[in-house]
Amino acid sequence: MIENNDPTSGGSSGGGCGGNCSCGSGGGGGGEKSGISRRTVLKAAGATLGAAAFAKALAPLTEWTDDLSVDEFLQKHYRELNAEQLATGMKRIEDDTKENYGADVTVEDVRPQKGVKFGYALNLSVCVGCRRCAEACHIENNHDRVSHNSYIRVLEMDKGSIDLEKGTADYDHPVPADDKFYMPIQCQQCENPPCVDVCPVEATWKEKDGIVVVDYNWCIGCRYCEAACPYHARRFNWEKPVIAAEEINPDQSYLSNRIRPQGVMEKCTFCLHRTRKGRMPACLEACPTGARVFGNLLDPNSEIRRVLREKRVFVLKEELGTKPNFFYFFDN
Amino acid sequence: MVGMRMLSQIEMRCRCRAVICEFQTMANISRTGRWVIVLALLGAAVLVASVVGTVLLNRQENRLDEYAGEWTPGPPQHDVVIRPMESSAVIEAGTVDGHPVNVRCDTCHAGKEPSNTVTSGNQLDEFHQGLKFNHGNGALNCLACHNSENYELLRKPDGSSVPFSRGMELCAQCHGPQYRDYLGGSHGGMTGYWDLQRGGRVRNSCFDCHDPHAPAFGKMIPMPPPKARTGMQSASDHGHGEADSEGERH
Repeated sequence: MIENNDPTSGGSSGGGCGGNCSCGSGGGGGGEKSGISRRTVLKAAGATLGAAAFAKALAPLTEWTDDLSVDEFLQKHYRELNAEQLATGMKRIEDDTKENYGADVTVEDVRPQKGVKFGYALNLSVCVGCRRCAEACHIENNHDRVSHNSYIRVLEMDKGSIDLEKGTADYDHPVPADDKFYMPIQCQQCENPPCVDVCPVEATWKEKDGIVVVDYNWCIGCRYCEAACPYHARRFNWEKPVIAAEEINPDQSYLSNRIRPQGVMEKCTFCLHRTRKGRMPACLEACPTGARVFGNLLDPNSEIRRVLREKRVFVLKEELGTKPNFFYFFDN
Repeated sequence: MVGMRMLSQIEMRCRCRAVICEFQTMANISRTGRWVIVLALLGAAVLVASVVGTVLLNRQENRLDEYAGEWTPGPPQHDVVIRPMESSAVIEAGTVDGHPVNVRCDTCHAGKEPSNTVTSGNQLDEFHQGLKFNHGNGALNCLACHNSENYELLRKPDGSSVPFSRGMELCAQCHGPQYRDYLGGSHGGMTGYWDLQRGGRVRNSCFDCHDPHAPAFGKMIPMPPPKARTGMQSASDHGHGEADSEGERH
């Protein structure tokens, strides 16, 4: 702006610009004074500030630790990896687990099957609230032993009410208590998952078989998804998980139960490392009463389809339009 | 005077901008203006090059497969096995030289007159003393299920006999809805494969969870709840209104 004026204003209205206007000294008066001009001072101050800002911007590099290798930092999003890059990444995770936890594990990538869409149903009439499912999840998915984390939260609720706000998850007395029923809640693998919508970096997405997964290496830990989930089904790794080597489940997969790094979100994946190979999820196998029904929604002869056909099923918070693939029912 | 000068300057600037906008000859633009244009063109070129480069670099043919095979409907290739039930008609009768001794039902019952009135083990003089019977709210006696003509078999309400190894059929006589749900997979624990084309399944029998003499499913001590994080209040400390034990984390 100032300099745009120079060639023209210098001729026509130069008199007006000659006084104490600062553009005068910039345009023509470079060598008028031998001392330090205000401009030089300003330039020096600006350069200093710029250098300081640049140094500050690079400061995180000084905090670079062994936990984060350059390869890991530069690794692409799961869905942009090719087979070779993914294999390298999984090998690195195996090596890191050996180094940090002293356990020999195998990390693999299990892809969905065409023609399979997973559904889960839970019979509230027979659930006794024993938390065996939550415990099995804790072990299967290599959760932090200190926080005793699990993807399943069992709510103890008054019979005759289905107000989730009034449920308690920390009951500790023999179950089932009289006049109570128990409602385990985990990821509902919604058709319309709000957690996926809010992720600013697309670190979480819905797979073709209906399972919502997280790329733990891509997640930035902003916890938007945790806030967005109406079922409080997502967990944040506040600390680096602590697990004894002999307790680590060595059968791991990239998108499910590998040990998560600190500062990322995690969630139930219907044990995709098991279920995509045809097995039942760990929580179902642990259930002593058989309250859980799991299977392929696209198979009309499956148990899950029979439940949907013959039982009066409902989904949680239907009014939100999340369209869960997790159903609840009472025996009739 | 000052106002006039300002106006003329503004007019100049407007004219300058108009000149640039109309893409007249470079001669009409100031030296700085030329540099601005050159830099802008350079920047645009770099931007386009980087976009094209990124697209080219990220274009990979060997991306991960979307699917690993296809599931097709078909007959089960593996069996659903029910955990074996008590199949031998015997009763433990203490130990001899440290070895447990089992006595067959017939050993005693073959020569005894059956009683229609016994509803508890404590009404008997020998054997079955500790047997707790709490099934059917007092409407049942032993002979509702045990076959008085042959104590090594069970008896259905229609009078036909069932061996102990198929005892679940007897349960189903009264507990039809439960048996229906059991067959449909929504009652009774199991392990194994949801996909019977890839693996089998092992299912509990009725008797893994229900004692036929006192079938009510007992109370259990639950596994421990999730812990509150260090330095945080547990959910119970601030009322049971919390729907989740992680509420304290916020």
